[in-house]
Amino acid sequence: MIDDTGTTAGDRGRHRSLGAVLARGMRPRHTGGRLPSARSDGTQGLVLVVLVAAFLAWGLLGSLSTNQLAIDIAMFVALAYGFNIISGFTGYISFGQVVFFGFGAFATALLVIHLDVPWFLAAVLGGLGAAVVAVPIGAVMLRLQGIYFALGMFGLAYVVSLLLSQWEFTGGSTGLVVPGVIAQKPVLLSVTGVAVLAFAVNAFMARSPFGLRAMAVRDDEQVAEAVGVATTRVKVMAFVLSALMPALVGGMVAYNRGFIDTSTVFNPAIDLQVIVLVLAGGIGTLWGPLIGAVLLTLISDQLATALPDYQLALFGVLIVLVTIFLPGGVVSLVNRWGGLRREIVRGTADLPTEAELERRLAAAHTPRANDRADDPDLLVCTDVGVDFGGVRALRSVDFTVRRGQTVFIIGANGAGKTTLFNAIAGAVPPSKGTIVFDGRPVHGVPAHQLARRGLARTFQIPRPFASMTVWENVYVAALGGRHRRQAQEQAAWVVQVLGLEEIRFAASDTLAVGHRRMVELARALALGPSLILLDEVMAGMSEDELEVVRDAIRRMPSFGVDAVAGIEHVIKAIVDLADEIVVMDRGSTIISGEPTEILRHPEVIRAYLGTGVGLGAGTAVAGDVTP
Amino acid sequence: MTYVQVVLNGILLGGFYLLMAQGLNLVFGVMGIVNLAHGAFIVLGGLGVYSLYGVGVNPFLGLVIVMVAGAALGAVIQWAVIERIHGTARQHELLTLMATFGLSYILINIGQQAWGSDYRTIPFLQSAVTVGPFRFSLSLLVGVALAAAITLGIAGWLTRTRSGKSLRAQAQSPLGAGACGINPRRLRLVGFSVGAAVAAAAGMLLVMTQPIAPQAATNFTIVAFVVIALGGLGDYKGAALGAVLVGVVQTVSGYQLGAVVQAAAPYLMLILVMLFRPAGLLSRKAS
Repeated sequence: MIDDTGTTAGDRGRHRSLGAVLARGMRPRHTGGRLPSARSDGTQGLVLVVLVAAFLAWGLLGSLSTNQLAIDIAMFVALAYGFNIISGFTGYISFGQVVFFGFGAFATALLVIHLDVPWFLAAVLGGLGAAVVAVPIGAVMLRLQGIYFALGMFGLAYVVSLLLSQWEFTGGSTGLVVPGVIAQKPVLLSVTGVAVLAFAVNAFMARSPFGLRAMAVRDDEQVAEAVGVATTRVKVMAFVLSALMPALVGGMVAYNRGFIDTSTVFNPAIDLQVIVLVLAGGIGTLWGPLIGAVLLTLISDQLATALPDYQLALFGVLIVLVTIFLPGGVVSLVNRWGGLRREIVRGTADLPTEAELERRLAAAHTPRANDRADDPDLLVCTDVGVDFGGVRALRSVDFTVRRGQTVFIIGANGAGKTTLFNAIAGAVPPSKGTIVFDGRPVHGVPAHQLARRGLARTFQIPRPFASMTVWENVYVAALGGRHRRQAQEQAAWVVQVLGLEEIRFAASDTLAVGHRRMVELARALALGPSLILLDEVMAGMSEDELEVVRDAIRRMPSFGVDAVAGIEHVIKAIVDLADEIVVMDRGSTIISGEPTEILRHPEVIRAYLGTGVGLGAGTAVAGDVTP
Repeated sequence: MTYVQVVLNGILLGGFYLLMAQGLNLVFGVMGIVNLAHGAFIVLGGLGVYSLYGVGVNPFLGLVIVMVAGAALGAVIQWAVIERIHGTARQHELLTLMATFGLSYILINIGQQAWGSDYRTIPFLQSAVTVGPFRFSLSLLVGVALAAAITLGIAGWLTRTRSGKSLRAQAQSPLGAGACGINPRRLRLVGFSVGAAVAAAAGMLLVMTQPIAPQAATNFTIVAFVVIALGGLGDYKGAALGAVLVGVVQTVSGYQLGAVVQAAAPYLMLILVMLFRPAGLLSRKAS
């Protein structure tokens, strides 16, 4: 589906309409900027304090209606940042976050009415309750992808609202009166507090290891899993955080309004408005939700008084205009002058020398458990078969990689090489046979756990996390199960070994093919694996790049990589690297052995060169075979 | 016997749902877009027939008129909005969702200003037909017959005509279709416009059998989406099964458990089916 729309989107780009020209000019830059930002945390913090102080001065000192407008603004800022956590940074668009707003509102109302809890405490309890409830909801709903998740959440909010409207305890269809006095100023202060908290969580998302993992999930969930990110846990945590904010605000607003019913607190129009705000400001950015929420709440306040009947339609028009003309939001406009880009994660400014890093890493390196290290076989595949529907991709493969060995698999397209790697890495379930890695079967083990156990892989078509820099790509992989400082050193080492120092702060979606493959390899190496599966890393590389990769493969054993298994078509690049070459054909391994021996084998020559070519010396043949 | 009657009514309702889902499925198949404004097209079509009936136009003539109007509106929206959204595949998916979400609110709001928020229906073909031991309302039967005719018409168009085949080619591989000289832009226009016309037709059938109002549009979008999601997005045959299933589950649950469960049923089905058969009910279990 993604591929299809990708092509259509590309087709559309060529048409020269006014909209296309404008949209091209305003196409969002990727949030990972090309240069490290020069802004300091101090300045940003100061800007924030000044903004909040000015806002509170305006909101608290003004008339009652100003108080109310300020509460609305703070509420939408908090809701927008809550939405941005799951939908912006983690990439799961939700059309039903209002369910937590309603949850907070009803929890607070019921606590105030039945238990006489002070309103502020009640709102906090409601928020925490929503966070707890969000764990199982997230664990189930986040298995849905894309539109299914969005509409699933919409349906959930609808069903919950419907059920509560039938329940006497929650006031049924008539609603609940929340006792209290009019206390706009305390409410304004507390809602602003939630907004600041929500901003802080977003700021944390934009630069922390947790945030990087969430963005990895957003960019490519399967790859995130393969580089050791526990995707489900990251998603659920983000979901819980993004449920907390609306629930807190919902409770406070319930007290502020003094009356709630299901149709107002579960109103999907609230979600609509939040989505518009975030989209208009810039989804997945740190400052976008703030800009969007303040700007559009002020505009919509004016619209509500001027054209009350058409408020929804005008909001609809706004969304449409934003999607066409400003798909990256206001922030993308400012970013053209470098203003509000995400501050990229940089690690140390000056990379330590390679030797220094190697010394430090060696000191930190904990030897793997000795009980299994004796076993010479690192990976054992026995009689592995894989079926896709009725197609048999793998018939029966026996494939063993011993410690200290470098094995390459060659074979024609469609021979099942990549399928074998997918089965080993846990991405495709084998239909028969067993795969044992490091003494334990891989069956049923999530890919990220395999990655952390020491099984790394690269993808045949490079799939860098598009919104991140090269450094961040490598760092995310290095983080798998490591302390942050150690991960930085690991990443720095990998970056130097592969010669990526110059481009480490470049946005990874702008790289040339050779560099992309290098990033792919860097991520796998950064995991610090014991077995590394290389799926055609050398394809499409220049001679210089080939040498860098070959050098890296040679040096792997000295840094904890026990064995290397690769798929390669560039045969001249592997003859002197490989201890063993395995030839696959139509879903089975046909022969294996020493490189020179294999390349002289009549069967291989026939498969690669056709019959009739002289059976010359192995090396000479190898030199020519570069399909 | 009553129980069989309920199930039969559910199957007939499924015929309606199939028509409601056809347009959505077509648009998804051709463009990979889930059109969240689909329900709004349905409602506006139905209310258009309602108003035409009010000034003395026969609903069948009204059907033709709203289909033409729907096709025109769909073409305008495709040309003015959808075609102008650009971005990477992922962005494009998100942005079109947002844009059609926005469009649905525009159309609902316009509908509310034009027709108000009251639920309206037309008293047309109200007599009951007795078939053996069962009784059906004539409007339901005529509606299902029309739905079947339109569905078969679309199927014939897609499989027999050149433009229909191009549309399927575009759905399966836009790149390949382009290489064969198919103009993707015009096809998208045709696809979206036909989708809107079929939605308007579904609205006419609905307004004959049940009261509708602009704010119900979102519900219709969801029901249509559930139907095609059950069958597998873009799968024309799967949609038929999905439609009958939703119809039967809704009528049976409404009969046994009351109106609330009936209203909630499509949403619960959506969540459950997506969790357990994410590729649709008919999907073969592979990779």
